[in-house]
Amino acid sequence: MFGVRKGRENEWLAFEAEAMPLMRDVYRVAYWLARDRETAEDLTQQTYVEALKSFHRYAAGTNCKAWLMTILYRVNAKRRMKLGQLTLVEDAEEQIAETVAFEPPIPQSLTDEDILNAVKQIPVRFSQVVLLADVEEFSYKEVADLMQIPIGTVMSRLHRGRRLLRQELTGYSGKGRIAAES
Amino acid sequence: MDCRELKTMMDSYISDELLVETNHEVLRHLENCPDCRREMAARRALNLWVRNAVRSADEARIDPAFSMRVAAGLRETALRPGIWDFFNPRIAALSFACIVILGFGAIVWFNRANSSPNTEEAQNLTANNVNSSDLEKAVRVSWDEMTSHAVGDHKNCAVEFHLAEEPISLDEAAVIYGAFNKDLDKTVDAALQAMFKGDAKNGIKFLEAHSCIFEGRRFAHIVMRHKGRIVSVLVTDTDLPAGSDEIQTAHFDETLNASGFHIGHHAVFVVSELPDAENMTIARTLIPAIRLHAEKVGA
Repeated sequence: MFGVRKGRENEWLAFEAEAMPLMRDVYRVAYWLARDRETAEDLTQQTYVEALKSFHRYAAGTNCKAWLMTILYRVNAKRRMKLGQLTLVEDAEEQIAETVAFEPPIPQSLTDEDILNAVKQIPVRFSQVVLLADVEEFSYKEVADLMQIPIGTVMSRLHRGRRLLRQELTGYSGKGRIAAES
Repeated sequence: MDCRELKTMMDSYISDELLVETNHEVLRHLENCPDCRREMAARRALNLWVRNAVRSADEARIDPAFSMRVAAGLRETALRPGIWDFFNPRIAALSFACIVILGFGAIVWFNRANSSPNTEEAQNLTANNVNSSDLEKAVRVSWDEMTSHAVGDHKNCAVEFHLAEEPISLDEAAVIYGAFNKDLDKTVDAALQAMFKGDAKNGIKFLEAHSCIFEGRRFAHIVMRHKGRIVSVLVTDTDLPAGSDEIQTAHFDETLNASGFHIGHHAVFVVSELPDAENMTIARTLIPAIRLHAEKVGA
């Protein structure tokens, strides 16, 4: 009996050391997935409950952040399925984006508020890839794994997302709040 | 690598997803192309701004109270005693072993109960299978042992009065050990008085009757005197298979003679220092009387 209790304590200590410090990152991604605090908190909590349950399957020393994000995306997919919000995105739509040739100039000076507003303006499926790749600094492969999409789709969404973001920021620039580069 | 090619690779270059060789080509192109260098710098800057803005955004910053609440809940869940805390591998192994043994025992018992004939049949089969000479030998040993006890009781009770346990009356024995004891003394006395009737010189005299124990065997003991010698008629219960009325004799200590016969579940011995023939005559006289007595009491 003592061995079982000791084993559980050790597992909790490992979980506490590896997973708990990443809660703010999980919450941040959850927030940008849900775009509201309450849902983000639900997602975060559910993610950690699931993570604790399956922590014995986590290989210590591997990328814990990516493992948690994978769980977060799975939890979010379940949530959206319950709400009837889960939709399949056609790659063709993203391929069309690749053909858009226009590349607006990037504004020189931007406020955080400008950038956050711009992120909110672009569709979640693009902003998510931008956030995961550029903010959370996951590799294409990691993004593909946790979002359950092909790497090619990650690349195209990232390209499209960055460009949409740039267009949004140019719009702010066009309103005279920031100066265009050229 | 020209500018158009480079632009298709800029995102992957910024994300550090290009192969080393391709990276080198990109760098070589950037060295010689101010426009691409400017575009790359702008994209890098945008990338950095987005990262910093998102990471420092208050609205996407976790509430410390929520964070602590979740951590506390998780900790409680993680350390809550589970069913396995009450699981002791040794006790479980022992229990499992007991179950296996009991299960195996039950199977063996069930198979035997189903495959073997009933007890009575089994006994018959066993008896039939035993070598008849072995059975006779066993009966002989038991009979000799009973005879020996009868002689011992005669010596220790009727002659020397050395019994370890106080005798009880036949009436008491009839209540405790069976109706066969009831009036057995009268049956024996009547039969022997009838035999020696008219022989005033060599008559037989009734002395004593009781129920006594010698070396664990209980006897109904009727003591008579004939020709100046003590004559014991000893009757004991036996489960030996009933034989004929044949009288079996035995000799002890050069002076004592024992003549015995078997009726129903009773073995009857006449023990005395009388000559063997006379002792046997007394025994033979008792056979019809004892049989009649047994029938009368239903023993």
